[in-house]
Amino acid sequence: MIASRRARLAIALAAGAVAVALAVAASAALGAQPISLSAALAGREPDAAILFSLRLPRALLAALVGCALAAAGTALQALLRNPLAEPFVLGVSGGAALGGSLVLVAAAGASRLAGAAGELLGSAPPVAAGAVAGAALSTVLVFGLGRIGGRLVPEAALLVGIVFNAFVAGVITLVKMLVPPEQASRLLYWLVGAVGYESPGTLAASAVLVTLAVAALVALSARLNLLTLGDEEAASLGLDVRRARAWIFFAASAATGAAVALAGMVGFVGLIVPHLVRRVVGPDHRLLVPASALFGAAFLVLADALARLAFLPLGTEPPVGAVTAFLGGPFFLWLLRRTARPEEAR
Amino acid sequence: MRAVTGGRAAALALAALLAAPARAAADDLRPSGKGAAEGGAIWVGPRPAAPPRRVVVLAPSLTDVVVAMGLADRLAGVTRLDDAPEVARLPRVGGFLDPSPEAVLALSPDLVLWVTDGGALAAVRRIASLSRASSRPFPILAIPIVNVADVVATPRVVGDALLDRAAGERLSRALAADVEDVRRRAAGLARRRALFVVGHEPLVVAGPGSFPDELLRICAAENVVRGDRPWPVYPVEKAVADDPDVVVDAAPREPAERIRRLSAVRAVREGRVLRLRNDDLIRPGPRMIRGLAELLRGLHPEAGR
Amino acid sequence: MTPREPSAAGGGAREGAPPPEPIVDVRGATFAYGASLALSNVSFSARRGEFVGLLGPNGAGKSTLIRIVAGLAAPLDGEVRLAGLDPFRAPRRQVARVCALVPQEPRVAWPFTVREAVMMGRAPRQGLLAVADRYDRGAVQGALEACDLVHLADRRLDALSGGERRRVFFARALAQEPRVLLLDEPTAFLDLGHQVAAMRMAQVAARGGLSVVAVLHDLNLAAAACDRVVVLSRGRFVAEGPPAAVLTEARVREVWDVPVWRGENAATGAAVVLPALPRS
Repeated sequence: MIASRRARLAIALAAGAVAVALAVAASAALGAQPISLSAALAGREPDAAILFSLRLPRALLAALVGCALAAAGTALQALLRNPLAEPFVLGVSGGAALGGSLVLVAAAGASRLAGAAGELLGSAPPVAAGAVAGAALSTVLVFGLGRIGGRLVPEAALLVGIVFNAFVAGVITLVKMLVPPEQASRLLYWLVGAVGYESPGTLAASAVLVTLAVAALVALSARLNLLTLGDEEAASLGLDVRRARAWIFFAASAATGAAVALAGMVGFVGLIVPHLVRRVVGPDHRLLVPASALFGAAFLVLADALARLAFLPLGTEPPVGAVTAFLGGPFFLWLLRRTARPEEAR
Repeated sequence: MRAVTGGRAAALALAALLAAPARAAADDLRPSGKGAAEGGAIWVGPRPAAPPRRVVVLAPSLTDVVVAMGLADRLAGVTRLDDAPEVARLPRVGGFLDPSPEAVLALSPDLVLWVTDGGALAAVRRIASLSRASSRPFPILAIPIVNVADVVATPRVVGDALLDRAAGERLSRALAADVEDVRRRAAGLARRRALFVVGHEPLVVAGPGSFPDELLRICAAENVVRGDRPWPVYPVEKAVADDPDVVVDAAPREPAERIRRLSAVRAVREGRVLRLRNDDLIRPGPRMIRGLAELLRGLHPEAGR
Repeated sequence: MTPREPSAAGGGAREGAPPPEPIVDVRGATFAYGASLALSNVSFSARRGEFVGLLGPNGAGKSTLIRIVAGLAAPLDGEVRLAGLDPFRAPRRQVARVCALVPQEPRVAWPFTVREAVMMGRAPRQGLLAVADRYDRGAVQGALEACDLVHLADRRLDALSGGERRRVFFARALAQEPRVLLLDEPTAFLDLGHQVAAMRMAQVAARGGLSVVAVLHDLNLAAAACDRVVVLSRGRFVAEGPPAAVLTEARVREVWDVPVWRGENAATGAAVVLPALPRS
């Protein structure tokens, strides 16, 4: 059993990698425009441009976002000791979107005073930094306000997150009035959550950030196991709870912030994926975090492909956030019913 | 813009159910399906006996018509989207999609001009019922403008309403002549296949049934976008596969370099982008006709002046 | 209690037969929840191989005291030493290698298997990713055997009964290989058979060389199993010593505020305390 943990890890990672590869392949093969793989590989237009300039970068973007959100969701569930926790539901995504929006507003204000400075502030890295900071602050806020009498009450934290999300949606709607119209579309993007097309530079930088954050969560995964026992038990097993939690907050916030900066508030990925993966690999976070990260990547790539394909007859495409919410909303409710008994987290 | 959508019809039916006393007005304002050029304009309330002097306009394109007719002094209120210098000092009565009945009433107008399309039907119906209930009821003229012929005919309709038939006739003729001129110059030119972009993120383009679709046709160009949506969110890879000869960047308020997001489209890579400096082409009034000539020059530099 | 020299080096060099060094040593512990004082200047100790029971009515401060000993709640005043270690200064990992706590109500939020849960007791001795080596596996196997859990090793915690779960958490504490074992009401919510089994496991752990400190409510179980008991009342130290000497009729009546019959088990000599309910 113990000896087979390594084997289970290898199997889970291999299965995850295969799932990502298949999802990317499916996403690259399917789309509004039928393309020929051989023509694309031979460099013939437009097939080559569609495959290499559009579908593959977009699949990579979706994979990064899904990977980050699923890993962050897994970590937040362990921290809250509740399978309903998730960056979107807990308001962490909302905080990231708010942080990013505030940077955009500041940029709009600055460009009125000093054009170049505003431009610089409105570019991708500062906005992403705002998103990460917003995610971190809202995590601290939600977990802080979720305490009643010094004890973390998961239901209270979830409620705080839901209220915080509504607050964020309101603030972003207000903020939308303050920025130039060309940036308003970006704010709208954040509210619905959509995977689009980013420049190779942005993709590369995001890949580095997401990889670092997920790697940190993998490194912290044994601590996540202890934290599921509760603060005092974790402490009595030798864990410096505050420090461990601070690191996990930070890594999960960085992952969520990066995901939100890239694709807005894509909900429920961090809920659906860890839950399904846990049913297969079990509750050990040393398996769960890396496996969820991989399957999260595969999941969002497929969800994005679905978003692109489902509405093809209408000649339009909905944002992927609509698809994940369509799947995730009922899933959340089902999980809520199942976990009505607090002792259970299957 | 053109088609009355199912959603609109449903909203209309719902509103009729909810506002039984206002049913008469709702029926009055129901789109006839005929454009302004076919006599589709609808009067609600008594037609003015004397030339109206306090006119509230609920669409920037109609403001342009009144201004071009030289009757800007008749205007009492316009939308917040209006940017013609002649109306810069006038009170605002909300937007094209969300006119404020309160603001309209406060101006005690003697005529309200409205372009039938837009999400403003419920608000305009409220204005109509408030007008009927008031001591000094004022008329509302709803003008359906869905194609270039309607744009050309609109000054005639507005001239009738303002009891200055001559000014309306003059402007309509001038606009018709301008359109004819463009058509004549475009005749015989090789048709270019164009993608008309109005939003970058997500990609929103002009499809069949939109004004730009017809304008492209007038300018010896063909819209590459097919389907039945006037303003679809368009898959970028379809844009790549369509491989247009030219991309029209009609989002003048977005930074010019935003178009590079479409660099997978060959025309963008090769610099065949026509960037419009303003949004004249989606303002169905005199500006649209003025923009038409510019569109022709941009699409066909060989056409000359 | 008489003041003692610190248990640092040199303590054993005194004249006469030196008493064995206390492994658990609490001096003058004082603690308050907000404005209400929960513990006031309480001292006690436990030696190697000793099973000490903490007794007292509800609100006496027993659980607070055990959390202080575990280093989980810092006292306002006073000192705690666990085998010479200050649990509030030393790194948590180091404290956890010395001291294990079996919580009162072992909640299960995450459905680990029994073996996985017991393996977590090895966490303070493992690296970042808690990869188990041969020694870890051996310690876990030993703990499973000691607690009669081998046949349940691959079951999920949420599929176990309350008594079985309690054994899992006891096994996890044993797998920690501590020198101090703290038990917070180890017999709560258990039937008589499981209560006796739990006390027996604690006794065996003490005979194996651990210092065992347990919060107990059942005076008879304490009298039967503990080497020494400490009685608290309203946050204050009351008495300390062998159960038979401490649990006198007068003291029980005074501290618990009930009339009792005090007798003796003829077979073992252990004190027996029965509440005297009026027949009506």
